[in-house]
Amino acid sequence: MEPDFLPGTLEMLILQTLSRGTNHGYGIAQHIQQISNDALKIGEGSLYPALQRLLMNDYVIAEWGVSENNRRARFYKITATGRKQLSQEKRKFDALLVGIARVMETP
Amino acid sequence: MKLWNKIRNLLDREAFDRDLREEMRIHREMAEEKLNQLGTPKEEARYAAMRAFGNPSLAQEASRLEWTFFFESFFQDIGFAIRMLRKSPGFAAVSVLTLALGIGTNTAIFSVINGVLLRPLPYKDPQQIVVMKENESLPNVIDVQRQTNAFSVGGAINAQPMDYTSDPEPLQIRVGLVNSRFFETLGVASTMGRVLS
Repeated sequence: MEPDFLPGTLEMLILQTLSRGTNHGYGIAQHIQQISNDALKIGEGSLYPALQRLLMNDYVIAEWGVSENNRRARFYKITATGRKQLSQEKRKFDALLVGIARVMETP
Repeated sequence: MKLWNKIRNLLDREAFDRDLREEMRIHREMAEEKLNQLGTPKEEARYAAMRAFGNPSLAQEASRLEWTFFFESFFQDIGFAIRMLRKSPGFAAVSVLTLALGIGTNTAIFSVINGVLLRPLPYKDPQQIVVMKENESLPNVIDVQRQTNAFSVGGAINAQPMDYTSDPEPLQIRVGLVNSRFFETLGVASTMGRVLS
């Protein structure tokens, strides 16, 4: 993850990923990378701290379970508070994007 | 609840560390498997996964930092400082000496400045007291009182050494001859007897 990535964006991406269903750390990173066409590569040095922040705020819960190919893994699940947070983040992010676009499109 | 989560985490830091370590190990294994499926040789896949993951200790530390209370790192810093100082006693001694001298000098300078410049005189309205040193004659004082409106009261003192001879040993003491406004000017009372009125 680039250090100048907008703060809070990674949490939003993780929450968005988890809103489709529970997933483990590797799965989350893979999903973000694939959907973004390799534009976003999430380093573990930022993925796991971000997951801790989400856990701490009760936006997600973590449970050990078994993965699709019978492997033990820690699964993250978005909570109701997390969904609320996600829609809030989305709104803020949209406003931000509109603002940036306006600045960039003004000659 | 953020605080409650943090406290719970603090009480079971061991489980937290274990879970995280395990989780990150599995993450590396999954990455390795994926590379394997794509046809990368086993050994190579393992190293590639490790490289891609980066420094697991760093990731673990950064994750753990999210949960720490600010005072935890404070105590850790203090413990670290003490250990480092113990390791190099010479450096510690020089640091302590430097600090002691620095603090001592500052305290000394401050006490002087405080006494001479900052602390007000122990008299009534000390900021309004003006000392005029003229030749020591009472008519001068009276002239100043009469001819200016600059001073509100106008006490005068003429201090000089005098001999005190009624004891077996004669003493030289400092005596001040004052006018009637002197005590009023400074706003002080007499220790014994009464002042001039």
